[in-house]
Amino acid sequence: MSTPAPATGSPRVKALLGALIALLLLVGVGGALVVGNRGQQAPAPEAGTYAVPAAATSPSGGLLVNRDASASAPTIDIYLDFQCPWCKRFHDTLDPGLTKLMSAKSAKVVLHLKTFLDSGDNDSSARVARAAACAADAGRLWQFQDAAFAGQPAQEGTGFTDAQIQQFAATAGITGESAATWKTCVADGRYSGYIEAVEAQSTRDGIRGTPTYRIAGKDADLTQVLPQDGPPNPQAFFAQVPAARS
Amino acid sequence: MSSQASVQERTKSGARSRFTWPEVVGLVARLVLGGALLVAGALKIGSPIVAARAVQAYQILPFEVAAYVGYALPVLEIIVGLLLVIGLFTRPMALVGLLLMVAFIIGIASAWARGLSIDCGCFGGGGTIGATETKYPQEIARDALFALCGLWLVVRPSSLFSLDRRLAGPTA
Repeated sequence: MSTPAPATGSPRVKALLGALIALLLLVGVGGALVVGNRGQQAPAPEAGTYAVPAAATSPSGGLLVNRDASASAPTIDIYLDFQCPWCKRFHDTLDPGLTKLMSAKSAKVVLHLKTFLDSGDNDSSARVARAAACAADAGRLWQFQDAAFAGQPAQEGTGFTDAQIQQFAATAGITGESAATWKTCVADGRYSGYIEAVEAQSTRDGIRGTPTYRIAGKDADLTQVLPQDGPPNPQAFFAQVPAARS
Repeated sequence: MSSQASVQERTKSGARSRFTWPEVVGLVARLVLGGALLVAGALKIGSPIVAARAVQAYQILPFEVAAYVGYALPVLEIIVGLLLVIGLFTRPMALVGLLLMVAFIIGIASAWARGLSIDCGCFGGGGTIGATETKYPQEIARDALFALCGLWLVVRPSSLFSLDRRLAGPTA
């Protein structure tokens, strides 16, 4: 008991453990960087190798909702993920005003359907986004996104079933022959490459979160739209749209 | 327990009792800070892209660098959290935890000051949210509590039921 600890004792064990943990940290962080980076780079298919909806502004651009807008109208780009609760909140607040702007042809509304909330088994954002792109072919994108947001599950991450997505199309008024076309488009996964390209492009465009609204290329200030206290204030958004000022 | 000898050796007042109150506080501090880090890391490690977006939403680091921080942070949090919970290398790990918390507080305060509307992304999630949903004061208070735990352990790393204690072993 009174002799000093043997040389093989705890200091060496601890040094060994320390080295082991340092190694673990190195491997773990390195691995995380590699995995994360791969996830970042994977969804960047080469343009020309995938089908692009007619409404897309470019092979990796958003979907123009109203092609009949006047040429001089400012563009409102909306970056959204159908699984994102705040996208729904902003959608619910701004949708009537946006619809009004579009019927006056005084703004071009472009939807960038992001899928970054997909993870693991959850591929709901991608499935809904692909179905929405197919709905754009039927000229029903705006109605489809309304239906998809209305059907967003209360709990984030629950996702959408295929049956729900089918229901969104029906609610959006895709019926008869166009319903058959839509179904084929969805079943073929026709726009999977396009949706991946949109996600990759939005990262390159510096989108830092959803929803992001850009008016004529500039990030809109959303801080006053849903104030801490008081009702939603869509006017705080529309005041930033040049064409909406009278 | 075989650790009694080292209790006497390591504490000023605990010669007679098996433990001292500061050591109980140390244990609590380890569990609170370590547990929080462990949970925070575990909730984020499965979705690296979301974690990367959460860091990018602060708009502090360059876009690419922020993504790398988002990928690496959960791993760091889990390892440091685990070591704190089991009480191995308590002082250096507490220092890392303290520095992390100080960095988080600076980040959140900066986002707040710049009028950003983001979720801190501390326990997963993150990114832009509505102005009504920001919880900056609560987030800062919570992280300050964790930082306090870290500070305590940096000053007094000795605590109950720690592997450090066990490894120090019967040396008397």
